[in-house]
Amino acid sequence: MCMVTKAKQSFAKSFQELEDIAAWFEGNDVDLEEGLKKFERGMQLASDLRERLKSAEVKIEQIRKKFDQEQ
Amino acid sequence: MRALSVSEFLKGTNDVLASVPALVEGELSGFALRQERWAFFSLKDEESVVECFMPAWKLRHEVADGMLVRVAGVPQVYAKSGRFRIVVEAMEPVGEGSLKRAFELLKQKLEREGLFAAERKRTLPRFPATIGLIASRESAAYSDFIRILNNRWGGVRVLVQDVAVQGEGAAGDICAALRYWVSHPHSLPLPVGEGEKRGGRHHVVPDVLVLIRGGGSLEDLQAFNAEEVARAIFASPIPVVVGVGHERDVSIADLVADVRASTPSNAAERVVPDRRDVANEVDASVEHTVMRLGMLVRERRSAIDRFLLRGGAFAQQRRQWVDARAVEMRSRATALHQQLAVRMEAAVRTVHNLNPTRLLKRGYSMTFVRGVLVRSALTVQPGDALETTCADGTVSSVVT
Repeated sequence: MCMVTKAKQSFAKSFQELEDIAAWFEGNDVDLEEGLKKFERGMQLASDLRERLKSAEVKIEQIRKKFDQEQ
Repeated sequence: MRALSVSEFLKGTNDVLASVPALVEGELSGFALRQERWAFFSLKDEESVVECFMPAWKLRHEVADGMLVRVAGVPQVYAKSGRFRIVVEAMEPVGEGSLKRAFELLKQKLEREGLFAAERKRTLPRFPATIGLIASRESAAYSDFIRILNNRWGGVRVLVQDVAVQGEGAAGDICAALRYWVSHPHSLPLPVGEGEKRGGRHHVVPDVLVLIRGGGSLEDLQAFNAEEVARAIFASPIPVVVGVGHERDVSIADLVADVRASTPSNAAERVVPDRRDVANEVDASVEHTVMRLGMLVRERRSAIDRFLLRGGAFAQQRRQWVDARAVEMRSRATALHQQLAVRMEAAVRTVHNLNPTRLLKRGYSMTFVRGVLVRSALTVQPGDALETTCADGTVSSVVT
């Protein structure tokens, strides 16, 4: 039941993990104890994803126009 | 005055002609390629005709007899035949009709080569972390794209390559921007967990390239119909989204692109999902998980009930002893029901306030006997020592 906060993984990865957890519960031979662990992880992911959905403007950076002069 | 040799005369004539650069428009006629290296043709109008010669590699457009073209070059008398001609440096179709014809010819050629094939089109990542944007920074297309991107999504990095999207040099600019990512993986010293980390620096290569510009006439969109741009898109190792102009404009670049967007705004819609849609999907996953967990708990309960029913039948034979056990078991099962109910309730509450750090404090506990998790009341015997782990410590108890 540990809830160590992992280093932030990409949105895509977290989203995939949440979907995998939801899919895991579709299985027939689901263990209750493991289910609770997955459930907790899922809630953590969901909260993190929602937080990120609220956040941050697009970050814009310009690449120098003279592409060919760049090394 | 001394008579000149023929060679001397032509050399002198050509020296004079060289100072008269030719820029001529006319109808193309007798166009022929020899050995894939030389193009011979004539330009004509109602009254006159002039011969032209051009190295084939300088051809930038698909052309055919009957098209109105403009050539730039140098007039010259070819010494070996004495014929007058223009040595052409550049040729381009002129006028809507010729441009349409050139467009159709190039389209047919590239289609035959398979540049538009549906099976080579790549899918875009659903959540791109980095987008390479090729656009004119001053254009409305650019601001539309960024605005829609911000409306829909956040936290994405956009690496902008400011290019000319019209006029001379536009096609070359766009090609250079597309090829840039092949030879220059962009490296930025950023702490974000995006891109691949190597040697402490993050080499960021866009997940997708987006090429956009506003609408315009066929002439304005020349760069997007240029063969070299089409080939650069085709050769890009990164999927390319092209969004040009208004919906009615189809360019060659559109046809080669992995994803064709109808406008620059539509390109933004194709590249990132809408945060509201994704939030709904997150909610759906959570609801599904809660529902399945609830079913699990109920299944566990009915398994216990079924066992007690069978125990009841057995009781006919060894009434007293079994009755006592059954009562005991039922009370333990009830305790388990309650425990599970508490856990479920805590879980469901968590869904509502979504603060996972509080989850442990919501009444979860786990009971162990001889170091093994108690999954069923049937695995414990009177006298067994139980260790119950809660959020803030452990409770020891003995089964009576």
